[in-house]
Amino acid sequence: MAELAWSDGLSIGVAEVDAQHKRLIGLVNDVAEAVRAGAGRDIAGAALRNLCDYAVEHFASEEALMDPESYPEYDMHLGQHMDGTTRALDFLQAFSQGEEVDMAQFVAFLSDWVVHHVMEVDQTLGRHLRSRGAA
Amino acid sequence: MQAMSEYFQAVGQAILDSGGTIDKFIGDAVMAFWNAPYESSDHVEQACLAALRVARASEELNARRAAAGLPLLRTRVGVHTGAAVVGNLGSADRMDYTALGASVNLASRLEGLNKFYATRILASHSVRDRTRQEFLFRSVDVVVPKGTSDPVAVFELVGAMPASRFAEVAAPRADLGFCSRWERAVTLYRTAQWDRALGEFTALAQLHPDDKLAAMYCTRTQRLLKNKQGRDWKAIKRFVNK
Repeated sequence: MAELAWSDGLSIGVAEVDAQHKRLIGLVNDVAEAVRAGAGRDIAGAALRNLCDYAVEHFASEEALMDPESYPEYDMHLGQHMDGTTRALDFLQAFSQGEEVDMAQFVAFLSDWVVHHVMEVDQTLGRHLRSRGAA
Repeated sequence: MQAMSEYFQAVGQAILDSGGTIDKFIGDAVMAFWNAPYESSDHVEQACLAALRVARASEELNARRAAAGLPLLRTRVGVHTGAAVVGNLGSADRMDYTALGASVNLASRLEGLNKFYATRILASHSVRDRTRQEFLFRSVDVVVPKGTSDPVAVFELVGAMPASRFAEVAAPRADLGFCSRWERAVTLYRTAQWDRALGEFTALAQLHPDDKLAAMYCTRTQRLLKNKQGRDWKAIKRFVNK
């Protein structure tokens, strides 16, 4: 799987969120790299925790920018945040219970999710904020 | 007796209106299943819809009872999906069309767990997985119910998604923001970040002062923080009672 990369075309026009997206992409690459290199459970687990941790902070920042009444994609966007969080929780749970987990499959999910999140879902937020002169 | 009849009438109607098959009345409980005798591709969604309709019917009934000065009746619902044996079971002179199996038992355990968590509707992981596009859930806990050995993740069914086809039982839009933040707090909790988890649960409890689950998580997190629980801690609650 190719490494994810940031480009200026992904900017949503809010510096704080753009910086978080760059970091998020970096963290997904860290997890992918740990899995690809065949790192042990501890290292992969730590990379995974870092990612979840950061995603929590990032979602909070984004949701603080959203007005439920005026942002037309609010439901879809929050649904996507919850989906990402709960899938990660499912995985963390299985991982912490010592179950056999398919890390490669989870990394594939993470990459797809982050690409969809940054390239599509958050672009709608960017357009909305720009149309309201907020960004 | 009249109170129970009125209650069963309201609950039974909500189940039948949602395509459910009422199996039996057991004491003050109702057992129902979906996808039999007639198959239905969206039977899990229909069961969630029924659970929310039952909760609403119960609230309406309680509003009337409160106005008449009568004691309130608490309704709790457990929803699970899985394989079960369904058919006419019994002896030649007395047959019951019923469902049997571990899945049925888990649904019943979930119903009982509502008492512990002060929730209305608890659903299993498989229910949430099947219906999360159309219904709003929040993570409640990872539990080992009595009589089982594997931990299962338990969720509260909050309502239908505001834009879903189940508008009549839709959750208020504000609940989306609350639940999204809730999942983040649970993530912090399950990754053993007590300080941050406590901050989030405290904020959530302030947003919904009547939410006993938020208060429970504040207490739990404070205790874990005090005991300096490390990362080897496991977020599993074992139950020895039904």
